[in-house]
Amino acid sequence: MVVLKRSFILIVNIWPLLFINAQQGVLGEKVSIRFNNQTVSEALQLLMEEAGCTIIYQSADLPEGRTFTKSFQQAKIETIIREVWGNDLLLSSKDGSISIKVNQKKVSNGELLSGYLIGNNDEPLPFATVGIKGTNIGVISDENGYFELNDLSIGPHVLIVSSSGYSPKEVTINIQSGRQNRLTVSLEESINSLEEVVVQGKSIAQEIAEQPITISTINAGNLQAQTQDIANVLDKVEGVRIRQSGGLGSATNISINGLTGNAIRFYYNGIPAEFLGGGFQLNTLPISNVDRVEVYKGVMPANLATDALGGGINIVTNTDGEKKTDLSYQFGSFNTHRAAASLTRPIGDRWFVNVNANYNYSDNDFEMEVQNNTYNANLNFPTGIETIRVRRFHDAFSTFFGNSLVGFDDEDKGLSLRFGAYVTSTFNEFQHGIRVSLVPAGAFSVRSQDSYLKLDLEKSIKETWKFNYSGVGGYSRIQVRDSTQNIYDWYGRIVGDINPEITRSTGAELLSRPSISDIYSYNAVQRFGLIRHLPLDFYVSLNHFFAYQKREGTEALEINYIGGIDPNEEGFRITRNITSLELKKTFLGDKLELLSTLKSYQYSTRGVNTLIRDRNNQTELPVVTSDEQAWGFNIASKWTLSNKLFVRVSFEDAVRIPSQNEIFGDLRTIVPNLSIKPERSRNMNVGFNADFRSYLKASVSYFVRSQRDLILLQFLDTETARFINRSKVFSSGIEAAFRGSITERLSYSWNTTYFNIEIREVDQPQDNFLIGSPVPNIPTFFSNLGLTYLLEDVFQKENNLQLNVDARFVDEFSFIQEGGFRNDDNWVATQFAVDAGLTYKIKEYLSFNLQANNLFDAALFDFISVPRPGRNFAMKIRYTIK
Amino acid sequence: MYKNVLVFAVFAFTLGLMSCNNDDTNAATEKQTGYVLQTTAGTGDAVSNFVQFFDEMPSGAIDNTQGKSFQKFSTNEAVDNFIISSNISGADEGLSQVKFDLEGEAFESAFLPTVGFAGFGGIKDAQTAVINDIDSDEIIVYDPTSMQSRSTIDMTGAFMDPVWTSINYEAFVIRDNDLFVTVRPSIEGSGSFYATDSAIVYHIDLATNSYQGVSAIDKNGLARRSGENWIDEQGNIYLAATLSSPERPVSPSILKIPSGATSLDPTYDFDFINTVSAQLLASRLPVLLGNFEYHQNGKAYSVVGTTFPQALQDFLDANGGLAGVTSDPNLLVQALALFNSNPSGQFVEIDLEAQTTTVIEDVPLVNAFSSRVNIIDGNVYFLAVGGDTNAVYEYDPASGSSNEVFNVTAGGNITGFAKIGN
Repeated sequence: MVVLKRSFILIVNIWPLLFINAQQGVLGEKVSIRFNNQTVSEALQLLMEEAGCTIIYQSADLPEGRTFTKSFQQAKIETIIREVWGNDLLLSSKDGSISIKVNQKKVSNGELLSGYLIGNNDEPLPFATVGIKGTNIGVISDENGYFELNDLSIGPHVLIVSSSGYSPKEVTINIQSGRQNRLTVSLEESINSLEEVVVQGKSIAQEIAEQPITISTINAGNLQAQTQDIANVLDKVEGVRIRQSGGLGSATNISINGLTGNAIRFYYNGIPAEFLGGGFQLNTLPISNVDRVEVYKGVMPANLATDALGGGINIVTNTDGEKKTDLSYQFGSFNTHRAAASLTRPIGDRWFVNVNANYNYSDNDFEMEVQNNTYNANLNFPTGIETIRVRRFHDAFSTFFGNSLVGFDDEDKGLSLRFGAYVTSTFNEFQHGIRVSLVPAGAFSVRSQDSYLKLDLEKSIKETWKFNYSGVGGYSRIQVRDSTQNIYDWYGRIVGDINPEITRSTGAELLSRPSISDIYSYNAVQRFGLIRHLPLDFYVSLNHFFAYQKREGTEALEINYIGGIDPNEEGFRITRNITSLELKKTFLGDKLELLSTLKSYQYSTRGVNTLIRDRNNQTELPVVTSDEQAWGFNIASKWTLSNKLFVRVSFEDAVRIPSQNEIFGDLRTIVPNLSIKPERSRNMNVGFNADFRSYLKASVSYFVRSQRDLILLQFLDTETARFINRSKVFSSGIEAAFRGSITERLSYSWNTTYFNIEIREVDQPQDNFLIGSPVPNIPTFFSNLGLTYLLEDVFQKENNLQLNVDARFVDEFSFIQEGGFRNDDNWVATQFAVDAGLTYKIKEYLSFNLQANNLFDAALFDFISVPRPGRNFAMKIRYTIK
Repeated sequence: MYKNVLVFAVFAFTLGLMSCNNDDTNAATEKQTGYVLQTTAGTGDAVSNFVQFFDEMPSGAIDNTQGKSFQKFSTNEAVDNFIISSNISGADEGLSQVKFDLEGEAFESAFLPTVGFAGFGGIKDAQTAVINDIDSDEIIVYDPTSMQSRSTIDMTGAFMDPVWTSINYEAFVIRDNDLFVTVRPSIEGSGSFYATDSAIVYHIDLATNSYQGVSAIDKNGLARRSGENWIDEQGNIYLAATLSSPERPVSPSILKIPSGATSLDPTYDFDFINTVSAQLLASRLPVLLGNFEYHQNGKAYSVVGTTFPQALQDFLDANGGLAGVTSDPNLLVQALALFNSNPSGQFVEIDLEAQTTTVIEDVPLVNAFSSRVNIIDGNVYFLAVGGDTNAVYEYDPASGSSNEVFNVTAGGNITGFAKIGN
């Protein structure tokens, strides 16, 4: 499965058989070495540097997600490799080179191809690579130049053979059933034979991060022992800001290089989270079952992209079927409890079962300074205001998320299947709207439940065809309660208890009108992908994304009806069809990769037209439909300058389909605009990546983006508004990330982002002065620094203690355009926060983490007047065993 | 000797400082008189209101971004040396009293809290004003100088039609101790929009803070914008009935509460739009009436949609004309947006006694929804916004001519212009 899955996901990868030239060293030699939370490929690289040897392996064999922390004193290299890798291995060595093969225990069902590789003078070519083109199937020849390729399907195959100092060669062979398939391949010595080519093994996260499109990947394995959630982790990625309006479960706003709101898509295993219900929130999803988080900036891969406008986040969970038990419990300030359990069990060689469950709860009752109305008991109006420090009293949040998954992998048939079910249940109280007001909300709540089924299928046909399918279907139920007539003060008291004459006549705390609604959203998403490997290193990928969303329900309060009819009965429907055709080709011996995608966006809608105001004369709801289509494209390239440096450039003309709300309004004050067009963005990214061994890995990216037809709210009169297309925005910026090890024990990561986002076109001549002005309410300069210090063999051998310190800086930014006099009310103040954590691991299966967030109790604001929690603590215990 | 002189000098200086009372201190730190210009720019939620102070009447080209920017601001209610504004911190609740320091920087000098959104209100003088606290449904009487609430008005006995599910108080007019409040009801099952088919006025006695009665006429709903004066020298109150909807495009008219009376005069119904634009009257497009300001000698001024802008005409031509557009609500709302966002209006002088209207031709076409009339020191000023026009004109009723006083080159549309002090 591992090979198959990678070959599908990483269709843009360079040829995955990796090798390293021969140097000196043997398996029996002893070395002292220390590993600090490194992936297997990183550990092997370190071992090679330390021992002065060469280790040859296939990247496809690398155990996924495994990280390793341990020190060895004068241990045999063979022992070290076996512990680092963690699987049953076949090891051999010659002339300082070590060959690693994974011991395949399963029974072969395919045909065998064997043979010898020879050079110009018929000398055997040891440790040369032999692979089947367009697949990840490949081996290394032994010391005699002999190789065997197992499990091949019947029919023609293109064999690729390469060896250092020799020109690579392609040979076509027809594999026949029941016959001895043998051949000898001779290679010509290369003119550049003295030029050493070194390609090192990489983790999946690394390989994805080196695609032509601009991506930051986070390997979650290193973070699972800590108390952080995915929002915390993402907030430390260059170019990314996660703004939260409170504590656990509060609304989040994702910003990637200045793009924000609906322009950014959030995916869960490749499915847009908007189709999975309210339970999929960045700041509540547990990290314990996450394999990696992918952050796309600019072009998105064809097999993932829907209608994102140049940015997206994809959370990829572990579905490798490896036997694993993972239990964790975390508790902390504000009565916060988070429990997670994950269990994976193989059934036979091909089946496995995975069950996950987690529960989050928090009172979110952190202290904050507010202005509070004071009331005179003898009067029925507020008489003044006071500034007080109180605990939030109506912001509790709880969520349960559970999923079960059955997996099937048959490498012989090239088939992989995942079938699962998701259930979530969330309850969220709200203390205020987008601002902290004089009068808090004390009753507003939202409850949601989601139930979904998911099917993933991957199939390889004759090594050159790949087919994949993902389907999700289910429903979400959202119940909104905003109908109280009580007025609360910031002490949590009902003011009416003091003076019954004071009531909230509008009957709504946060909505423009009271509401008791029960809304169901039925979602069906299907994604198909077909990949064809053609001759001359040419790949074609055809993908289709289909989504159907139907929203309907009931509203108990007639004040929201149209002509006496509840408009929620008809609700909204939107269907999206997004088709993409991707072409990819490699040049110059895989040093140059080109990728181009053409996309078609089609969507149709059906909903209630609330513009028909003569409501009392309506005998049926005024239903309207629309049907629109748009085109987009992108092109991306990656040029590998050396094994330590590559450059990538991408350009995209992207489209975002308007949301239901933007088309049909909110059934309250926002009226429909059936002629609204999609938002568009043209963006270009240029990036440099360099790898200077363990002490410095650097990436620097520059981007420019032009957005047009921005969807913004237009006020029609004092009460009604609608979304329209207007304005043009241009942005450009740079981001840089560096990481590495300062000493054996101390490692660091630092990134910083700065960009400029300005208005290029306005709607009215009176706004012309805004042209060239910055777009307000977007943080444009921020930086993160992380330090990790590792102590080994603490209290007991193989028990490690790790200290993490993370510092975050976000420069101040203005909510609106500023004038000649500075107005502090308009500014979201500079943030400087420091978090620190201590993790004690006992032999890789038990860990304890103590985390202190906002260590210096800084006043932190992501939005005007809405504070983030002050200093808070959390403790986590995690048990995991594989 | 020198030491004694020094001690005496210090003593005398200190005494001199102590002799300054608080008022003097305020006078030394706050502007007492001057002009305040507000412009508004931006899109979506990120709207900036630039507020700039001028010691003298501004002239020429003005860059209003030199002022201070606020998320919310309303300039047009000026009293003494301050302005009563919506909450300048950006929140919905409460009212801000705004003064200007010696540098001309606006600052909140006092604050009146409310439970919810501080809706419409009215100011009688520096001691008495009213405001509607929408969330608590209260009409609060307060002192605009101290920004202290004094009382609330008991409206429990006010008339409520059985089909009304809720009401909004729209316009507040204070004549001596008579407070007139126009009412906009919501009809059960009518959806999100308030009914606009009746002009309804509550009468309240401010001496006793008690509800007195209601009068109504089957005309458009009554609305008022901040800072407008509707009372003539004799105490007659003229009310602009402007609220309408696409489904009920009754043209705006002017109604009257006669001097000494406390209810609408059913015999006074000045269907003034008929005197302005027969073309618009014939259409089903609701005719715009900008703000309405009484001046003197029976004359009032307003800004009225008088013409179809070219963009609207093109839209009508492309969609089957007026009949085609008005039969489709989606087309109609687009037509209204074009009507509102393109220059289509003109300032008019309204003779309330003769019931005639004179279009003022020497001011460019403006956006009637965004433009307004202000009376400052007895003079008529047009805040003209639309197309390439973003200027303040002074109108001379004697000569019937207008002159540009200043124009704004940066800062957005002119949305307020007022004078503080005398």
